[in-house]
Amino acid sequence: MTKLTIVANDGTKFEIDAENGSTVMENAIRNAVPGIEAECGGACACATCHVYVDNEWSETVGAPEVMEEDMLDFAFDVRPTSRLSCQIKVSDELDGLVVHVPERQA
Amino acid sequence: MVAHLEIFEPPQCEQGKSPSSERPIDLVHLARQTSGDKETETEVLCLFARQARQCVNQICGTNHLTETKDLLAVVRTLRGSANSVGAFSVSRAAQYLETDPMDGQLHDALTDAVVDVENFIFGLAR
Repeated sequence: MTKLTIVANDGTKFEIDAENGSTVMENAIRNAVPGIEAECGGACACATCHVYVDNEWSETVGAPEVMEEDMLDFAFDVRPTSRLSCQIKVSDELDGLVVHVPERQA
Repeated sequence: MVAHLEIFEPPQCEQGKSPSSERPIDLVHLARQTSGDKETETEVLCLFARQARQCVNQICGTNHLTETKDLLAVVRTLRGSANSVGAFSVSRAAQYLETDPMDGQLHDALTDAVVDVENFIFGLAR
């Protein structure tokens, strides 16, 4: 299990024990984190699971691939640390990862 | 990080209310149709853009079809394709045109919808 913290837009922290191999989006949906819609269910087709990776983690998590970048064009208030949470796979190296939910989705 | 394509059980969205359904192509609908295969999506969208342009030329172009029966056949073809790929604005415009195939305003509306879709597809395929 990997520790994952998702901070909702109102500041509520969701501390989750995430299974390696799952995505941040799946964990957000399973734990009913408000503000993560995931309309496409993880197909990288909607940009409604947009999150900001905490600055301390952005390098470890890495940059989005081209397909994800294209989808991020549809997201609201995109920042340098923006990612689609359906494309972040939980692994040991992300233990302690913190992501923030934006004010609203696409 | 490798793109994750496995589709997680999607939450229920009220039809017509999702952000994706408000775009020229509903990419969520398309992703469901293609099981999230991006290569297929791109191919299908490029084919649709080409077909939609051909149909619009036949419906509203300078050498457009004059027989109502032939015109309606093309409009129906376009409506069917548009529904499949998630181009619901084109599909709606085609449906309206079916009710009055000689209405100039409905022709313009269909052309506008196709142009929007073309721009959207070309933007994605850039």
